[in-house]
Amino acid sequence: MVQVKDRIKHNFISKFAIALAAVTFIPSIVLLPSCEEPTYSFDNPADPDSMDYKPPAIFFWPDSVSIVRTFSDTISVYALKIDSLAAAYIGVEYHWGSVSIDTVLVGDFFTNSNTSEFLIAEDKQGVLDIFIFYLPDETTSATGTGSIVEIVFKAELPGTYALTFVDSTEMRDADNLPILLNDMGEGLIHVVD
Amino acid sequence: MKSEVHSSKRVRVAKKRIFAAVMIPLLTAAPPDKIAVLDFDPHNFPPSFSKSLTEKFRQSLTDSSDAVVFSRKSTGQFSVLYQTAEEDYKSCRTLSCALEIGKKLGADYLIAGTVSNFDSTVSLNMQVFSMDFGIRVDSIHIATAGGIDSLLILAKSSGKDLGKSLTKVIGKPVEPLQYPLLAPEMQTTMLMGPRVTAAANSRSLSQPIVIHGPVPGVGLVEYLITSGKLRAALYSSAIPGSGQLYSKKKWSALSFFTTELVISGMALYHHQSYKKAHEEADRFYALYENTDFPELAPGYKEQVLHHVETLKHHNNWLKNYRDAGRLIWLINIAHAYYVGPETIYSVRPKRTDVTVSYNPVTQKPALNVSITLD
Repeated sequence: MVQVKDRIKHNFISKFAIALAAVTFIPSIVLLPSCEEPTYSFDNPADPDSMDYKPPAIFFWPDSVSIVRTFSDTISVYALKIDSLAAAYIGVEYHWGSVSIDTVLVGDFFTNSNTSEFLIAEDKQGVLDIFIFYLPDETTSATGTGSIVEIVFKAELPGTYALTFVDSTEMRDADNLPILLNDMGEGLIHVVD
Repeated sequence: MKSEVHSSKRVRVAKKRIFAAVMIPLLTAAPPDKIAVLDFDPHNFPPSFSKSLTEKFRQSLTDSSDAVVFSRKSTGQFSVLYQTAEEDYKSCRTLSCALEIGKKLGADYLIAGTVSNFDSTVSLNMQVFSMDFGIRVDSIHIATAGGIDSLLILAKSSGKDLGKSLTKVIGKPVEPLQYPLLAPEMQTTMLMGPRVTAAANSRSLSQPIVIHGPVPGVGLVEYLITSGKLRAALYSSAIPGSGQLYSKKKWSALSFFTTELVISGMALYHHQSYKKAHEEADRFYALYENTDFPELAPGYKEQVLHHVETLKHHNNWLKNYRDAGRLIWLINIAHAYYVGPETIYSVRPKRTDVTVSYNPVTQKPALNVSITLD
């Protein structure tokens, strides 16, 4: 009996060390790695998938802007999943007199190519006609989603005004064949004092 | 009058027992001697070959005598509680150590030795201890420059000679036969339960009580702490394979440890890959959430989904390895308990004995009274 008690005293520290190892080693290697799989919600308004457009399509982005009177802001015309776009005519209807066209710039969608592009913008007091195309080499085209043109609007009178595409808006590929658009979006300009 | 009748009955009982003490050794054959050979302690010598040499020596002893030679498993299966915490049988070279281990093992003779290799000479030194005489009865020294093969042949030859000499030349000393005069229930006064009482009454007076397994008097907590099997299981629960190593099962220990290490390594690899993919998914999701450009959002989203797929892949493997690791860990604990050494408790209870004995050598009876004092 005495031997047993001596044994208990002698081994107390080693047993404590073992117990400590047991509670550290086992959970760390065998038990702890129970990983949860994360879930992400893709609800960014800038995500074309959450805009309910059926590609191929074009839309305004941002689709709604607030501009202080006499100030300017930019709205882009975006292509959504358009395949082999080489030329486009885009007609934008706006409320003439309340907002005006300040500048029209070529978007990234066309400038990513090495081939030079041409842009012609004609403001017809309520309808902005935009012609944009690559040199007709029958090979250069742009595919995917991106900004075709950027339009700088200047606010003139307070109010809310709609931006729409004219029905004759059309896209063509490198072979000059028309690209059918399934959707054309709308935009809003809020002019505030 | 009654007391005279009672005493005459006692005398008749004593006469009968003395008669039995003389007749029983003549009618019953002596049991075979039991010889335990501890693994030879290697010095500058391969341990594996030392074990092999010990095994060959045991075999030659078995072949050359009628003695029961304990196997290596038998000599190594007990974890004996010593005051000096000595558990390594190989290092036992002193008389007291040999006698103690030999008695624990229940052997008549115990052979311990060392095998060494110095200056191209391999040598084997053995000492033979007799448990009955309580002395070292023989010492054998073999040395050869002929290498290991030569030593093996000499050791086998020595084993045969020793086996013959131990079982034929050296006879067992004649023990005085002892018979208790008190009834069994009166002999043991300890209150340690029926198993201790039974063990105490079945031993000779000078021997300690040896009990395997849980002892009622020791207590459950003390048993749990000191049990060799539970200790092995506890070790293995902390570090896989350590319980097997404690039980001298090196290959099992290595197998469990290596397997658990590989599984843990793979689990760790997949865990790291999972974490990396998770971080990347989080990074691209933050970009997705904060972007105002419709042309960039789909790309970020695609990256997020790609990394989610990657992390799911690694997480599945991680779960598989984790489950396998848990299973093998549990098997490892169960195996450690199974192969763990059985604990022997050596206790000396308080005891009162009155015995009458007859020594056939001196042909004199004797009355022994033993009272254990606190």
